Amino acid sequence: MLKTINGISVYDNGIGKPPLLFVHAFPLNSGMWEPQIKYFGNDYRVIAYDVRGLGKSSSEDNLFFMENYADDLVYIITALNLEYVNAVGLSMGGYIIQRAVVKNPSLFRTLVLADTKGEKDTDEALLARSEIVKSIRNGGRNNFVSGFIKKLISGDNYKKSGLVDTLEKIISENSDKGICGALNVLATRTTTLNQLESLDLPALILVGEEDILTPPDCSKDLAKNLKNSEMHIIKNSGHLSNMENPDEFNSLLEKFLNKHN
Amino acid sequence: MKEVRILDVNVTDFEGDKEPILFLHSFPMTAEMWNRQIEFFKDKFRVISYDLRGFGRSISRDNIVTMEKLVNDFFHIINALKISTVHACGLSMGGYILMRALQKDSQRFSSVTLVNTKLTKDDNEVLLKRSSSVIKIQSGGRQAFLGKLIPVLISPESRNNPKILKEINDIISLNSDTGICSGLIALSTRTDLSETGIEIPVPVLILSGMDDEINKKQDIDELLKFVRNNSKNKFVLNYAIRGCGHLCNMEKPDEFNLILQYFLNCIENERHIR
Repeated sequence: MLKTINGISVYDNGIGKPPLLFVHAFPLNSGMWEPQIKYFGNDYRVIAYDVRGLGKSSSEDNLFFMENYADDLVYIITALNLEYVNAVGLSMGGYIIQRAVVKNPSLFRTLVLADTKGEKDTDEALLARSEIVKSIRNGGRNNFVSGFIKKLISGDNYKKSGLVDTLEKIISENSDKGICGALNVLATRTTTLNQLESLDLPALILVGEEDILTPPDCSKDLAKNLKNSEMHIIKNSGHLSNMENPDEFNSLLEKFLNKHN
Repeated sequence: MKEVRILDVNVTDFEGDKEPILFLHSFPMTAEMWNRQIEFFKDKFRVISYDLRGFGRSISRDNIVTMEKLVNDFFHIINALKISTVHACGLSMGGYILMRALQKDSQRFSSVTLVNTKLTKDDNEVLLKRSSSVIKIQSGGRQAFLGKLIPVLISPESRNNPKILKEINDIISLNSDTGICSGLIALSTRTDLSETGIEIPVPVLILSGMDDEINKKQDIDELLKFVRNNSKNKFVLNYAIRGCGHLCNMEKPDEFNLILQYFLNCIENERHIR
């Protein structure tokens, strides 16, 4: 079920059902989709991969832009001989899907953008990312990870046992180099908001009500620009809505997918 | 003259008690692009130049270079050389580094010379162009990329000058594919300095090549306006050199050197008057 396509590690349950492809957030990997892979595994051909440089996906030189991430996604769809996918992306995964769909709209039947936005980094964010690269290089990885996990999930979910450990475990599978490479990708991405206007494919926009990294206002902007979209705010959740409130996330996603597949 | 390595960066230092002047090169060049300036100024100044991280003999261990890293390198280098204030001259990418350094700590400068550079960061179009250049180079298209870029770096006049073309090609050949790609990514991580603001307490020389196709006259006008508005000592000199493009210091070295020397002389004279 695990295959390598062009250096990218891809999980594919391979069943003859409509394809449902997941793209993960930073600084995680495809492990974050476990609650969805289980839930949708019987009714959909579930595909989830680690982006270049993270998890089990290799990167030779660590030199890439968002365009490389977007091209990888398109390459995977083509290499698996899929006519189309239903694509679900959270945060960075959402950025990747937005660029890929703008360039190749015909490969996407539906679009699910969770806890993400359509605007590029502000100068402040850019400089903050550069600081993170610096501190990871200087041995500050653990500090960065523990601080970042606090921002990823809501205060209540942080206190509950389990989720923090899961996140630490997933992040521990990523190399310093891969994390730094991804930070540069995030810092150099373009604004996609205005490019979404031309799309008419069905889109579902989800966001955790306590998301502080891409607050609900970012999702509202996406919904405004995607004319055929519906938006839902997920309760009891921060940025990682699929992991923090999988029940609500899955049921909204299921309803949406069943309508369009 | 001695060569030193400071945090993997290869620095050439002419040492001595003279006032230091430091040159920062542009993309996709190396410190060698300043050879004619180094030769001209080395008797009067402590001339320092270095290959930006990823270029020439300077290493990037993980290929991850950000503009901020390049700016921090600048401060590390002048600290390591025990230089308190420096005359700094940067062309294009070198100018971006200097402007951000000015914003972070303007006290370390004696003067700043900004050559064919601008304040604004990359827009969407440029970002995508840079990323397609990286993809092109990674898939073996280095020659095609450079074949398109090099003519744009110089004036129509210089394009017919085999000597200049050879100099440029020789210098670029010192750079690896990965170095060029990491430079393209670093350029994309620039912030917009016109929005954040800089207070400039030192004399500024703004130099440009009249036929520069990369940095247009409008960019220079905006830069000049911004520098004048933010200059504390109001000593701002602006000069455009005829018959040359982006790499004006290589295309018209004599004129370039004279203007820079004039600017530095003015600073020296003003000190005497005071």
